[in-house]
Amino acid sequence: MWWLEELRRRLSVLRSRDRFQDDLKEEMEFHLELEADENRNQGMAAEEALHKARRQFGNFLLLRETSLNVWTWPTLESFYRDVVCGFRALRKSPVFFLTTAITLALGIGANTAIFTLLYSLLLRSLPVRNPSELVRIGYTFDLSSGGSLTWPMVRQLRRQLRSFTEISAWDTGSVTMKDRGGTVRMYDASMVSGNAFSLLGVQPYIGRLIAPSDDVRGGPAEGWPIVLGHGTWNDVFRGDPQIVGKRIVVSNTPVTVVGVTPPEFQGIVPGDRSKVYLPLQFSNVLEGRDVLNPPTAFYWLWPIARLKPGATLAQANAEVTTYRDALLQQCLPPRFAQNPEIKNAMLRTSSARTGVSSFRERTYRQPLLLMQGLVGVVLLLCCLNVGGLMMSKFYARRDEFAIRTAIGAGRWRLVRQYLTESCVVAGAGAFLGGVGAWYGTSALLNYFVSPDSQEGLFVRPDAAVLGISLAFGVVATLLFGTLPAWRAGRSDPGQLLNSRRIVGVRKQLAGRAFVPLQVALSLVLVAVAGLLSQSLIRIRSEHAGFDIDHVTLTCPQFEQLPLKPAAMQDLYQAMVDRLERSPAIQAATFTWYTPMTNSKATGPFRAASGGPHPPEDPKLAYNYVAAGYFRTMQTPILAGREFERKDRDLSVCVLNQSAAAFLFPRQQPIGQYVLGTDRQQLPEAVSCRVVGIAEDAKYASLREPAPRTIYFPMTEWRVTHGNMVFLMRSVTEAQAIAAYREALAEKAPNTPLLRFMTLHRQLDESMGAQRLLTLLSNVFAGVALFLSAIGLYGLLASSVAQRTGEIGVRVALGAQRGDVLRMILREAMRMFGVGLVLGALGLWGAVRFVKDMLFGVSAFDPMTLTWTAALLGIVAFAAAFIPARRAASVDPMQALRAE
Amino acid sequence: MHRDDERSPADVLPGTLQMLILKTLTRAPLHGYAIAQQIKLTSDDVLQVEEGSLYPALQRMLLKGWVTAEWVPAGPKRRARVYRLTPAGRKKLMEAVSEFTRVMEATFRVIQPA
Repeated sequence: MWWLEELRRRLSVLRSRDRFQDDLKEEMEFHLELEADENRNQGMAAEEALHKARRQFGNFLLLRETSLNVWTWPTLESFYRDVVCGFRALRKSPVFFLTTAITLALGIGANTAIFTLLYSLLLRSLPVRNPSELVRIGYTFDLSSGGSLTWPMVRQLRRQLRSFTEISAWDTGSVTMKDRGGTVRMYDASMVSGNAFSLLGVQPYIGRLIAPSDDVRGGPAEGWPIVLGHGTWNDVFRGDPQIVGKRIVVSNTPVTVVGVTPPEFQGIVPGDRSKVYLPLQFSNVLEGRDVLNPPTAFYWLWPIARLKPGATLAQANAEVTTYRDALLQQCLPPRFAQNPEIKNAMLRTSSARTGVSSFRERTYRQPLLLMQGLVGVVLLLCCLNVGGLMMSKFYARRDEFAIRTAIGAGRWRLVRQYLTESCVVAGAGAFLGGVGAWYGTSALLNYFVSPDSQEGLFVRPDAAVLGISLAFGVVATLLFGTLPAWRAGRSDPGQLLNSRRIVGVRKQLAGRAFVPLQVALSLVLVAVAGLLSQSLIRIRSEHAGFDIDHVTLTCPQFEQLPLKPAAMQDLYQAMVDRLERSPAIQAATFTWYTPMTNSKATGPFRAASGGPHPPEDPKLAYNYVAAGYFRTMQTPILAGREFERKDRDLSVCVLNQSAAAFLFPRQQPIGQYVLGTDRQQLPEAVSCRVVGIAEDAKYASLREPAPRTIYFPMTEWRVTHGNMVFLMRSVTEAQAIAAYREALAEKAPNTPLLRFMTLHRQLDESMGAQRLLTLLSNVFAGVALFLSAIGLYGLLASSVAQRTGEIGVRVALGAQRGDVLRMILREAMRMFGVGLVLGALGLWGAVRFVKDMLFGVSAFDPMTLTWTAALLGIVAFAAAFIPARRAASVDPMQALRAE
Repeated sequence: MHRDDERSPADVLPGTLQMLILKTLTRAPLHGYAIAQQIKLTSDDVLQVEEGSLYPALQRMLLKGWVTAEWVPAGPKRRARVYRLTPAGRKKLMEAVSEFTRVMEATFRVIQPA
């Protein structure tokens, strides 16, 4: 521990610094005396002897200083002095300090919050051993998504591939489990192959994780094991330390809890949280049959593999590609191999360092990047503003810096001191911003709702947030502190001799460059906010084709009931009948897809009457809906009838207007037949008579135009494959919920109650990112306007104050008040004009990033642009008017007397 | 043409001052002036120490723990700070000498006439 010893010695010397100085002085003087004695002995005169000794010794004071510096930390000490000095200077102007710190906090906080989201969703590595070695293998149809494989394929590849140490497989699903109150609820589950956890290198928090011996067909002899996520363990089991070995019921199957995952591991989908983990073979239990193991199983999994050390992704890709055809032939039923989509599929590997990209990640990637861009501009604006303030502060202090230069302060010393002061301001800003972001992030998360799980995004702000805000702080310091620091370093002592009046006016031009830049950035932000708001308003006012406001929906979990298909359909219908008996429910029905979930089903259909085969894409959107759907949704039937309770097979259908016009351009569609025979793309063969024409209605989202849609009656096959959704029409949501609870208690008391949604909320949530983006862009546009107004005002105010003398002379020489007013306003408008031009250029570059988010409004919408310019003009004029009036009211007598 | 036949004292080679001080202290504890004189004397007046620069060097060695210092009386009303080598200093000296020798020998091999 040599450095500890050193530190001890250092501190003991530094504790008695005065004594150290005295000792050193005494010692050195002693040396000089002996030297002088020696010189005298050689015959020199006393004075000369001393002189010679001094010459030989060197610079006495400098040597003492150097000797002391051996013991101290000179850089540290001067930095400390700078910080103290900075604080002292800032304490003298608390308003300035607060303004700058809060301005920066705004910019840094916004950036930190957005970047936290961006980082957690798109960039963060999984918290496992060597995440960069993880890859996903599988067939994909496009390059942007990772691939999937069936279980027999995984087993085949395991035997053959040499680039990987191991291949595991993940499946996701929902299981039912009692919550801590005893109510049966749905939980997201991951079904994992036995090697999945050891491949990732995740260690159990308590107990053990899923092991290869657990993952056997039909379950291990001692029964199925389950591993709880850390959050589930806390929420559902109250963090019970004795949980291991406890038997619980999951999806009507008894299982034994064997362990808990560590808190930092949240599964492999960023932003989502797996609640429980089960062996892969448990998927068969959930599906009710063996979907995994038949040699030609058609059940797709996410394979996660680990590259051998030293193997590259490119090598792995090259190796995997060679198995593409053989694997398809061996492991798929022949009829699927002919499917065009599978024919075009590629077998490839992609990095799984950040996990498996979710629906959410793909949906929010672009809005998030755009938000990051917007807040980046805001930070730049904040820095410009603070830079401008620092600049004017520098002019107020330039005498101080000139004096320091005059008495020998080095240029870099002054630069360093100024930058340290900037650091203090940025540090305060980063601290406030970081705290704000820590709490702000969770508020933002509510906008990132997944339409599948209907849960908010799961992102934990962590130490990374702190690091990020610090990094932004440093960036900010460099951005706003450099120019003033550079000016401080160039302080010219000669200016002390000049009259104050002459300096300043011209020299302040450097600070003047800030204002047009601020105006330009504000223009970009305000215009983008305007365009996004316009889009959101237009989307919302789109004609949906159904009543958004009074429909409540909920998803029953009848799938888990052991019912025959006919009985299942009867149960759904009985629920509807029971619901419709409640006085509060005006209409009720059930459906396969609900509108506004950002997804839809499509398939190829054609008119049986043949006719010219339409050259366009023959695909129509389709949906299965029960009797009363159109009545419940308030979609008008234009001709024919809607479905009735007797319609329970695919012999009839309803087309929407567009589909009817597409399939039967010159015919009366009612009574015609529609065919859908492509069994690879459709679950059931269709040959149906058109019984009704419905008005066009939106399907996946309001953003997409209403697709050509064909509606089928609910069939037995459909109700036994997945859960349907109940739709209830009532005045309030609460009425619908109460009625549904009653009906469920009567008809299916053992199934879980899930959360309720209204179409309105579903719509809002499906546009979560767009809403957030619009909201934030408006907030930031407001901030930008405010900041530029302050910037312009501050600059003009200090310019007017400095030019009081000049204005006094002008007035004395006969300038009218109006002339002075116009002079200052002209100056402001010139800067504003330059900013407008710069901003237009910036906007021209920026719109390409926003274009995809716009709806019903062009990127260069003249109305929006005119309004933006006008708004900015008004704000600039208001900001300039106050200093201009002050200038105009300068009393020439007083101004000149002050000179 | 003036050649420096009558050689003027040379400055200490950069980086060797600490080694010289350590070596000087092996014989006996000395104060600063004596160290300077001793170096001059031992090197037959060839090595000239800028005397003041001894003191920062000594402070650095104190910090490293290679020497210790104590005040001793030196005549009437005067005292001198005397520096004494520590075991750590002795070890450092050995390292420094062997390193210096290695470098010098290598340098000689390069500049020797072939």
